[in-house]
Amino acid sequence: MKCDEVAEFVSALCDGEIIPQAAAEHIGRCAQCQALLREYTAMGAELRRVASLEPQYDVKPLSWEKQQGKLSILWRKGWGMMRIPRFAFAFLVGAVIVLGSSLAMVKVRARSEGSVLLITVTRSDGSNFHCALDEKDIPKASCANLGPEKGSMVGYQITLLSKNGNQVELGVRTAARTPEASFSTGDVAKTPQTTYLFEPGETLKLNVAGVGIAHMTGEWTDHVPVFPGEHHDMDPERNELRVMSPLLLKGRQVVADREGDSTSASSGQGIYVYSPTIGRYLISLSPMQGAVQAHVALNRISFQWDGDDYVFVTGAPVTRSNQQVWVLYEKDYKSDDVGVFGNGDLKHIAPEAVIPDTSTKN
Amino acid sequence: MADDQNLWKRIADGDIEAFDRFYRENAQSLYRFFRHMVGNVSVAEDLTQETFVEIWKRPQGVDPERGSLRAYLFGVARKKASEWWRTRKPTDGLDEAEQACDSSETASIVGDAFARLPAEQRMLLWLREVEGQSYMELASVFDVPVGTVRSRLFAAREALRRIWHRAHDKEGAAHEVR
Repeated sequence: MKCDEVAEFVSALCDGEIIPQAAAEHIGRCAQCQALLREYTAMGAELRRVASLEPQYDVKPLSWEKQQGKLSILWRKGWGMMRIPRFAFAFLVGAVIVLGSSLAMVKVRARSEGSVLLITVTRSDGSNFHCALDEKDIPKASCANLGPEKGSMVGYQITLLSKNGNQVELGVRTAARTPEASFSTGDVAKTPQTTYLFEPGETLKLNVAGVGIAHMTGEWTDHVPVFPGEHHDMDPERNELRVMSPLLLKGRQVVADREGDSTSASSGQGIYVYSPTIGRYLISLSPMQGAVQAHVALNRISFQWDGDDYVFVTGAPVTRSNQQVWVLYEKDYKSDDVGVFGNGDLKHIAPEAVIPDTSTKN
Repeated sequence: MADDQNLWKRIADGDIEAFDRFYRENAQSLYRFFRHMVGNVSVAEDLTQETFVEIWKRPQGVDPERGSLRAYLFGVARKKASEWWRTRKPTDGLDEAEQACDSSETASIVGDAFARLPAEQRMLLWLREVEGQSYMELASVFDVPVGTVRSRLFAAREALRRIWHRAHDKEGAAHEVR
């Protein structure tokens, strides 16, 4: 072996390690490697001497009991008592009161701002409907709703007459009919109007003759909600024809505008818009004698009559996509109503248009 | 090793008396190690205390099967010293370190040469020559195989010897000029 190869074992020998025989033999007869061993040994001895000159370290007594985790220290501190000046405590209490009242003021302010009165009427059977009345539409801010209630069809018409501060003057009409009879907003409009002073936040009781007591509440909002009516689901129910705030266009001309009125009908029933000047437009999920099939796309019912293009634009989707809709226009239809929007069984409101059901014959 | 395991079990169970004994037995050598690694008395004191506190707070960090308690202690210390060197500004503590090396009590050509070695070689050589740690313990401290310990010790000794010879030659030349 050569000295270079043995050098590492010289170092190991210095550490008291056993080395290979060949390396040991080489070191035994090599003066250079022996000199290296002496140097390594001398260096180690010198290092230990230097270390021995080091002054003694004063081992400070440490209190190991206090060496706890930050979490446990915080936990213990959290349960400890604290003294604060009375002024500081009074200031904290004052700050809580001020902040609390500020939040309450913000809440009140949010409810008292806005120009739209969102009314919720809870019928005597517990069901409810909503309507949105914008003060900018006074005196025409009005909504109507027709719906079943305790075995009857009950209609409500609510009109926003005036506003003074947070208080409003409301005109309310209610009417009830048997479910089989034709029923329209016109019927409701014919009933006497009762005037109420109403302030959002309070509950108003409405006596519906022969049916029961309905309750009305309200709040101010800064916008007209998407669904002010009783329906909150975007999709109509299966087999439901839903018409909310309809606007009827003939070409580019507005034929009828029933903003705020809403109702729905199922198969065998119809929804109509009537005025003495235009006649009656009857919409149904059932085919009718003389009716045309309409095209429905979301909130639009498009149809043609005598070469003219008509579109009902409503405030929400009208039917499910697989439902077919028919429209019958009776130009010469006459009624005592001045202007109506309503629904009813086809057998009652348009008996001559009913197509006899032949499926049960034979 | 059995005593080591027994002691460590008591420390892991929160036996204050056992840990305090461990602290008193090893604080001096740990301080001396830091003193020569960082060259600053107050830093060495701080690091000594930090090392013991860290072990006391996390006794589960040790695995008695892998090495002795002292090896674990110096393993933590080695990391602390390396960390200190990494975060140290270039001039921090330099004066005091130099002063310590040049003090009359510790004046030594080997000592000066030792101070010029890279930190890892200094730690290795110190733990072997001064603390007398075995190859197994050093392997645990530096987390390397035993064979690597042997070759690194040789490299450190050779580096120290070269520096020592250069310094010795310069000193001889200076005497001749006079």
